[in-house]
Amino acid sequence: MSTPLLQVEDLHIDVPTRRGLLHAVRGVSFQVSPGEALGLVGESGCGKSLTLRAILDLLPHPAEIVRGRVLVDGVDVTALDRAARRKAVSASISMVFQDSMTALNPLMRIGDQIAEAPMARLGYSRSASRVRAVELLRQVGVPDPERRARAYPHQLSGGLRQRVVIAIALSCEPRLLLCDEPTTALDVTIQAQVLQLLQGLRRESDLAMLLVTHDLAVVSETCDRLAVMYAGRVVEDGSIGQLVLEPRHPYTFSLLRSVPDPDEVRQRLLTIPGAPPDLVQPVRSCPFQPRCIFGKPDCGGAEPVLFELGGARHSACHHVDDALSWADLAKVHA
Amino acid sequence: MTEAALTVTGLSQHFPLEQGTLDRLRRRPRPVLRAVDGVDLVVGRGETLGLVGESGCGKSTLGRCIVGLYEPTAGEVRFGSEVLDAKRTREQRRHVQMVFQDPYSSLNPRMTVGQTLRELLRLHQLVPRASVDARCRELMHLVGLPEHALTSYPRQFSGGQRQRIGIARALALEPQVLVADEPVSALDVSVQANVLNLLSDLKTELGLSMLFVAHNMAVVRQVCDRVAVMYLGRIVETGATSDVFARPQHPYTRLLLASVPRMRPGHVAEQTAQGEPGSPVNLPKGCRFASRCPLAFDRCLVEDPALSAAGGAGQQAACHLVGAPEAVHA
Repeated sequence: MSTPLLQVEDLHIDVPTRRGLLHAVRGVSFQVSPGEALGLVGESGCGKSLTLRAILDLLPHPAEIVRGRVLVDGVDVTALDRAARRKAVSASISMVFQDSMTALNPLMRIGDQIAEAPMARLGYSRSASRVRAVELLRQVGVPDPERRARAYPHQLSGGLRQRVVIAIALSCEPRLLLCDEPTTALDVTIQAQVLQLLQGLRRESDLAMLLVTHDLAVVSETCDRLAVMYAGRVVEDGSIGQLVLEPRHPYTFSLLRSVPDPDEVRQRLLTIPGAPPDLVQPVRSCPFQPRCIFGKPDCGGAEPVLFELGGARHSACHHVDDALSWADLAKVHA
Repeated sequence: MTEAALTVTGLSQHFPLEQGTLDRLRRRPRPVLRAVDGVDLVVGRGETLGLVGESGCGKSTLGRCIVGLYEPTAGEVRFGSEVLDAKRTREQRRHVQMVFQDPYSSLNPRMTVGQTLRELLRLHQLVPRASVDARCRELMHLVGLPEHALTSYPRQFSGGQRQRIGIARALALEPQVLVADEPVSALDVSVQANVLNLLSDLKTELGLSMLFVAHNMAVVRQVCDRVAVMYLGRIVETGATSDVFARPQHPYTRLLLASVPRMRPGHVAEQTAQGEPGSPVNLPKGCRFASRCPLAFDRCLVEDPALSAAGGAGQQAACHLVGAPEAVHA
């Protein structure tokens, strides 16, 4: 197999708070190969966005990486100094932000915003970068790109602004796009357009993607692989097909059954009782045990690590091999 | 259909916009945003009606008109046979209550949950003074919160719990009709399931009628008996949820449903919309959806279609192609 484009190894992120040190990310590892799309899914506070930001050295103050490495094309970028790191990362990775209203500069014409990076990083001349900006706007499906390049962000609709944010991310010809909830702020018909655009870009230019979202349906339409995060760790990963059809972690199972389906009515939605653990406190056993659908009492031991399940799939559940329990679960909550 | 709990007839809510000095001097007509433009709705007793549409279609404005937060430009809202104006008596306000989208900003941060509820109960004199506290505890049980929640402040609760408090606040007045404006869209999925289940339980337990305003089609499918689809201030399709989801008649409904991402590996949305919704300030002369409609023809540009019977029993759609052979779709 080729070298992964991005490798995150045993990443730990701490956030100092008034109540003590919050261990927001506690040993996350994954990799993205060229052209592959990985979805990172979890609920608010599970550490998915921090993980994404750590890759680009964009952690909000005072969060910091306390352990672990981020490798881009096999090079450990966390060992580099700030400037060198930015350079190494931005050469192949760029980010699509969630909120297009705050990601764009309100006082700058969008054409100029798109032209900035090609000028600074790829050495384009002013006029060449303008041409490039219009070309990018056309590529992301903005109608009438010559005219729109002279518009300010507030003159565009939410869907068009999100396309502009994507155009900026594409301006330096990245090989990997990091997307942080790219469609959460959009209406469903516009969301479908943006997702289709991202899919098209992936097909055309063999772009890899790391998509962070809370929406399982969005991930299952756009990604090849999925990693589910809970309480600062990846608790299950594998191909989309495996995880959606046959989850092997009770958290993944519950998440899948708790969302309503547009095509059929469930008798009752499965709920996950309680709340995620407070990560200021040390985690001593399975952090999901108090909310677990199995409700087994014998999970009190050490926090489960990811078990290899074959087929590049992993789950961090003590009962992952308990086929009987899984069959029961599937029957009861069909 | 059963007896109507809430009837909305010809409701319009127009907001006049700011106008430049020059335009005013030229005596140009003042621009008007037509958020809701002639809507008829009926919520049957014990029924949940889902109101769906994209942002800016007027669904929230309509909900707010119904609870009396706006004074409608035209039309009326009736509760049973009683006409409800925007200025309502205390008694009338009780009948129709609202659950707001954002549980963070819709509760008074400086009052404990108990104080909020007691204030309501005393003001409306729904229970004798002596049993106000007992009623507060009962309300907590009803929405699945512990009794000690009464002595806490809203900030001490998670989003899902706060939404439960918002629901308890609305239920304190023993309303007949509940208007829920995107009650779960600010919540995480597992918490969302909790609140949706609670709303379904309350509906059966208390026989509530509900207008459920949402943009999430899957959520609407789960909780609503009937749906009304809104586009640019108008209802474009309405009918039983199962009919509308299985056999959508209006091209916009079909588009909405096709755009919803599905949790089936390998599923790809087959049809995506061209363009974006127009502006409720400059409404077109003909059908409001015509500029995005893949089936639009000459008549759509000049003539505004009215709702007419289509598809299942009680299903209606506002499209010139309804009933025409071309409208038959895969």
